[in-house]
Amino acid sequence: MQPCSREMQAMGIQELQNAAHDDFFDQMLSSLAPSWADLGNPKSPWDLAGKPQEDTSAEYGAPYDESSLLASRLRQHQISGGGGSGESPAAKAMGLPLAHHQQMMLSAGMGRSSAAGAGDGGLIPLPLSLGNGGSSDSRLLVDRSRDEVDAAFKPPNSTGGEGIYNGFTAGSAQRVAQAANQQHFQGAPIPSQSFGAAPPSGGAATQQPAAAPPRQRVRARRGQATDPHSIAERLRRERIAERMKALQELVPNANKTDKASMLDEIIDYVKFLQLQVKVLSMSRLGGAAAVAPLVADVSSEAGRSGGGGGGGSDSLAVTEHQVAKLMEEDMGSAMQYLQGKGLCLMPISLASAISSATARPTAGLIPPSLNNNNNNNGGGGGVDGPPSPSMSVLTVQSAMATGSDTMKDAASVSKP
Amino acid sequence: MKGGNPNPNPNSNPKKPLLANHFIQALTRINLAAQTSSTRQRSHCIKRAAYVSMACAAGSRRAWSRAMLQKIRLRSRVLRLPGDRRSIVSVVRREENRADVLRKLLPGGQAMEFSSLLEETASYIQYLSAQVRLMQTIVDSMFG
Repeated sequence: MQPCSREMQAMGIQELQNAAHDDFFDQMLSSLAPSWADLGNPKSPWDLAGKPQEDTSAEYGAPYDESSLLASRLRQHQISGGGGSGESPAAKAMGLPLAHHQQMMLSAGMGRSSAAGAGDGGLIPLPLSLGNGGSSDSRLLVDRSRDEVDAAFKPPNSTGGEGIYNGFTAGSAQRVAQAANQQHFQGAPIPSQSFGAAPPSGGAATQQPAAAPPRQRVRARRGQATDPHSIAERLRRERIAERMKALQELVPNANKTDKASMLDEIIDYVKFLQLQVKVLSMSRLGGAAAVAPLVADVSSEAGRSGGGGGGGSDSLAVTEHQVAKLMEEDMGSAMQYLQGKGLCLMPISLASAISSATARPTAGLIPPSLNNNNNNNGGGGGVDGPPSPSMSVLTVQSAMATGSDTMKDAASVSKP
Repeated sequence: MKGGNPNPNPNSNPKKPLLANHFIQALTRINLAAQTSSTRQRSHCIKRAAYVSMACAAGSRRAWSRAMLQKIRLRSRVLRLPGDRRSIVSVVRREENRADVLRKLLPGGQAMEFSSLLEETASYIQYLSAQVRLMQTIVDSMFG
């Protein structure tokens, strides 16, 4: 990767090898030897490139082999398909042992560069990833094998054309910057972008040692996925995790550690809030924003309905009459009528309990029609007969909604 | 005025007065026209006014508020038959996971990916709870 590319840049692999001498790099280079053996059909340019490596021992054998095999197969394909002539000068000129990925990319690059006549100067292809994340490497290689040489760089970067290298490096630079990973790419964009211009080998060389130690640490970690897909996946997971944490603060009972139960809790809470809105909107019928208009409405409504119900001085009595009449025909309409007034039905026992709790002087109730055999204490005459004279209707708001504020909300609507 | 909210919300922000204003205005408007409509219709109008004021307070920054305003304005003209909805639901309900359930709850949630769904849910919960608190406060102040 970067050391290799820089080497290519500087054309002095030996010195750069010494400069960037990390273990991984050695392993990479040494892995060329077994891969060469695997190939079995040495091509001339590659041979040239491979020669300096033969002396090194293969330290890095096993985990690298399958990707090497794939790489070799792909290379053959690309060599045959791509610029067979183009690659040789570059490889020869480089005179350095490249990893398979690098060589493939080089050949691919050569194919294109020869078309554009760019030569070998500005064409240093960046290997996407070396060694580390062998699976990702092989995947990339396989992808490339399927497509054209042009399309070979689609997985890393979707730009095409001659500017693919610069574009590729730029794209990978962005992606890397987003990922904020100490990956192979990290050092790569910096030197690679200089490829298009006159490659400052000195700058690359100096950057190398500084960037080498962190890169070395990252590279040495086996099994660390380095392709853009897993990086994006990791980003996405982190984003989801922090949003779940923010939701945890909003939702009560959010001490669940499990994501599934947390989602359940969130869903239940949203449903609960929506139900609260619905109930509150029903309970507010007959009311207005300000208190004064509300009272007027209530009295006017009671008066209106009372007029139809056969008058009593007490509008509440009128209300009761009305409710009783409605209950005879249809319970639902009776309930709706009550709800329109902000009233509700409740058992007499409960009403008396509430009234005593709130210490109201007189607490009367509209008894439920279900309990016709109730005592006539609080005006059981809703169905049977005229209610007791001094009766106030308890409005129990939000008994359904909050449950906790029942006492507080119980108000007596006394007649003016 | 925040609608007289007695519980200072740690997440409170200057959007709450907007919420209260819009909602109270809508309530007044509904009650002026109260004589002509039935009880159920008025409750429906109040509920819709609640959601509209929520969406207006949230503005067009939020996907759910935009979707909600669209839906409400559409629904005020076209009334869907409850019958056809039921037949569709029975087919879909097989493979619902939690994310799908949340998507159904949240306005405009169908077209979101999961991370933005969570974010929108957080904002939606914030506004919903503010609206509920507002309505509760109004009720309390009237009937308390």
